[in-house]
Amino acid sequence: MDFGDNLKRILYVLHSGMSGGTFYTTLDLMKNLDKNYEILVLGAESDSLILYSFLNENLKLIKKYPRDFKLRKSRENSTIYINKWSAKEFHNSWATYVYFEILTKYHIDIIHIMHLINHSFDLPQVADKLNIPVILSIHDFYFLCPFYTLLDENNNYCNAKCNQNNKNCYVPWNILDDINSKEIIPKWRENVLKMFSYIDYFIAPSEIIKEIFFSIYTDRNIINDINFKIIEHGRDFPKISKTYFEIPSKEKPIKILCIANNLDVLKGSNVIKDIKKLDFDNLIEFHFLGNCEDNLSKYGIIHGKYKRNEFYEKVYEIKPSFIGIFSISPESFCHTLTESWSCYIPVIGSDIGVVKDRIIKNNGGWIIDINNPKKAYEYIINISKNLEEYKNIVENLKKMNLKTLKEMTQEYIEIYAKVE
Amino acid sequence: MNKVSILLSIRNTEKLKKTLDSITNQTLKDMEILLISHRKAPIKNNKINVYSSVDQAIQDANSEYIFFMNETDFLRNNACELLYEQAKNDNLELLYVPIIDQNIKQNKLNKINDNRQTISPFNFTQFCKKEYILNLNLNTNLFYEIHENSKITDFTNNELCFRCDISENTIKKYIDEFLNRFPNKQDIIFNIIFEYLINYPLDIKLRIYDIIKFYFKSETLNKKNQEIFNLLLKNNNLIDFLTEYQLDILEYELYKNPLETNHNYKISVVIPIFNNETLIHRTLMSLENQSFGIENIEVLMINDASTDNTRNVINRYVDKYPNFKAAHIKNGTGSSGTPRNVGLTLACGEYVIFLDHDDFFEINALEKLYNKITEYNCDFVYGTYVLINSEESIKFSYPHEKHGFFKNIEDNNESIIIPPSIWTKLFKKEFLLKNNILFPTILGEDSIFLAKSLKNANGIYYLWDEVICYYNLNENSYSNTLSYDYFIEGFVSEDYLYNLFNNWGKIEYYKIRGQGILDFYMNRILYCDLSDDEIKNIFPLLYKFCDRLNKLNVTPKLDKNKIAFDNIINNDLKSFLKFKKYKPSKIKTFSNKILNKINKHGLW
Repeated sequence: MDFGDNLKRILYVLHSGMSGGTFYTTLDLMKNLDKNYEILVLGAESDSLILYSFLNENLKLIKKYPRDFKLRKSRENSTIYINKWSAKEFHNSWATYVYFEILTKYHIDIIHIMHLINHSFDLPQVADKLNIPVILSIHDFYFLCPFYTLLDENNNYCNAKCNQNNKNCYVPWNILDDINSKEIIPKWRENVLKMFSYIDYFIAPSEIIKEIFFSIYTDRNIINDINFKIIEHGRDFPKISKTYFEIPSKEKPIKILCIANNLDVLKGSNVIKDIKKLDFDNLIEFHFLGNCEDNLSKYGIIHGKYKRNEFYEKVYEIKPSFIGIFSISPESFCHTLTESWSCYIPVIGSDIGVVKDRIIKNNGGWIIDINNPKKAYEYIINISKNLEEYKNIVENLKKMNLKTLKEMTQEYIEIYAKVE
Repeated sequence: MNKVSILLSIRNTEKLKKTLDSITNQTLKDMEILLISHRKAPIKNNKINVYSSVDQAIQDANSEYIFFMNETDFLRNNACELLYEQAKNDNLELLYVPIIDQNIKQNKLNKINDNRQTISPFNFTQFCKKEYILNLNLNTNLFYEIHENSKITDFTNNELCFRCDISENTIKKYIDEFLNRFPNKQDIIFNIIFEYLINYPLDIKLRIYDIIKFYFKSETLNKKNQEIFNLLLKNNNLIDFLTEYQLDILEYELYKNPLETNHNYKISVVIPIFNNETLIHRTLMSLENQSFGIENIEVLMINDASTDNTRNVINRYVDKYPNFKAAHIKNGTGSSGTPRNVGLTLACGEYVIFLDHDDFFEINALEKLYNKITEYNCDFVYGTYVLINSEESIKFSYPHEKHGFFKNIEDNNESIIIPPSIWTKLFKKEFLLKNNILFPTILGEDSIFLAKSLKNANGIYYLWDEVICYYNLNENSYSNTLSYDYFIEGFVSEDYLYNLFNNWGKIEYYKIRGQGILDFYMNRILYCDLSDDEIKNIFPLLYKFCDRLNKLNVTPKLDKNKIAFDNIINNDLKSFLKFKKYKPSKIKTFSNKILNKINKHGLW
């Protein structure tokens, strides 16, 4: 590693893959911090833990720790013994070994956990043994349920309260398909709470997350108003000089742009389909940006994948009247919402979770009943006719102060200073 | 005339260099050296006078003072100058110079007092006025003749004379002289010799052990020494004696939690700990998170006099958990054997398992072991392990070997070659206590412990594929360092095991063990970096080990080892050393890196 000697060293802990909202949020933070701290990143795949350094905005591999064992089956031969991560293993001896190795060998001063999928729950306990403070950011509902989207077997939002049947809930990721969420939940929460007891600060990007967590974890010695902080994600957006939207008009179908990294059931593909099925007069024109199900082409125009820095260009090409966020899961922050507002486009969003909360709080659009397509359809048609209200919201968005990365980073630095 | 003549007794010229160097480097210049050779053929050297008797050397000495030295002693460079000044200034007939034995850590100058009875050639040498000695009867036991007749005497308080070794013959000579002179004072010399037995390296210990048995009798010793001597006689060999003795005399204190003799934990976990203030957390964490439930486990942390912060670290666990106990040993024992034995004697659990301070259990290890040992009512049950370091992990798993339940070693005699891996085995505590199965205090303690367990068990279960423990490969650990002591202790352990099976009438089990262990030791001795002198000292034990196996028709499997083996069984040290220097190329059978590592560290 090429670090200097004097800066404190932070380890960011991530789950699988170096992409997705959690990764980009972490990346934003790290980019703004890397002059103040030495940064390491511990990623996790189902078959390995991977340690990187982060310097000059680049991740550099330090070491890969494969989960697989070499297997000695006889006194002369050896093969490979495959070891895969499972959410059932709250504790894992091998992972504990790796955590001890990393924390002691690389002299970590602060640990900031962004996610623990593909990890075990041992890391905070190991840190506690070594007197290293731990900050845990909550990006989804993994610590309430291993099926972190909180959708039941019928893809309905469960509000972290299990129903009584034994049918397995919506499995958001195939690495979780060896468990039944309802069976594991009591043990899961018992072990999460135990793991939480080693956390110094919890951070969530929205108040609603805090409320949900506080409703489930009621031991205020472990999780409370003092150690739970809300830090909304910050973003740096370019100054807008062009107009990225079209005011709805009776002459043309209403353009609603749905954006998602992966526009699937979770992100509301079925909601979109149900609404469009009711659109006999073709008053609504859906546009899809990002990876999406093939059969969505029947319901709108697919624009394909995009990179984060292509967002404005793509939106300008489409010029939607609304951005639609129809997630059936409550989300934890929703970057798409912020991005939409950054180009002054009103949002039509789900009536659950963070999307609902932020739209109402910021007067940034309208919410629809995603469980009632007919009602939702009629509401969309109505609001597209109310141009005065539409313009008011656009004006409101122009005045909105979106939090910058610098502001967000400063809030994190204050937390780091407290725990050092 | 010189100021000082050094009379140096020699038997073995190989050890002479350090002694002579220390004499020639003396700051006092007016001195001479007279050698007294006990060899039949005196050393021929024109520059040094060599005598065959002490009295003639004394007669010829051309100095004011005579200083008696042995070949294994050596001096501080200003020793003669200081001794001469003190003797001259106080006009002393005799000045006692304590010998600081480097093998005995507790050399205590402050123990020197006027109790002249404790003075012997073991712990003192003499710096005498020549004029005074000439008046004595030089044909008798000179040390005691001087000792008893001198009137103006003193001790030096300086550490001037040191000993690195003492030969068996010298010990015998000193004992003979002492007992001849003072037949009713056996305890004095017994205490001295016993101190050697406790503190000297193992190869010398073995010889001292026999000397003690030969020279002393229980009825002529005081009560305390009688107890020691009887314990010594009770045990058939040094290893068992030392095991029991060290446990008997061990001083330790328990931190806070009293022993709960009425509390029946399901499992007691015994962990010997030395200087591991950081990674002991890893070991203990694997217990805190056991699926078996921490409330069912008693954790006995035996701190072998750590010098870092280990004491406070483990005390904090005692503060946190009522079922964690910390025993702090006063004077370090230096091996895991005695601390484990302490843990075993303190354990309240129905079953007991031993864990090392840098290893850790699989999360469900104790649950798996407990379920089997209770289901089958076994004396012990065992699984397998993962050898782990930062580079790779290797799981050992042998589906082709007999597994599941077997009644005893006769039901599965291949079990004698299972890796000792003691931390994968859960024992019924009563079984160990009833059969007096303890850990010896030498390397190979696990093999001996396991052999005794196999010999006595009536019901064993092998969970061949279940990982119990992660064995952290520490390149610097004692068992991975091919030191002189490593080989001495290793071959003494083998001797012990041979006798164990031979006395039991089951030498065929040692033969099975030998088939597994022979190449392991051959590889190690061939690739170690010991000097020729060290190999020479080890060679008699190596010969004994190989010769026995050869008589059992056990020979090495690897070709390169066969040549070295032939050298050894022909007692041909010279050829063996030559072959060792030639350094045969890498082991062909285990060509890849992993298997080499396993061969070196894991199994045999």
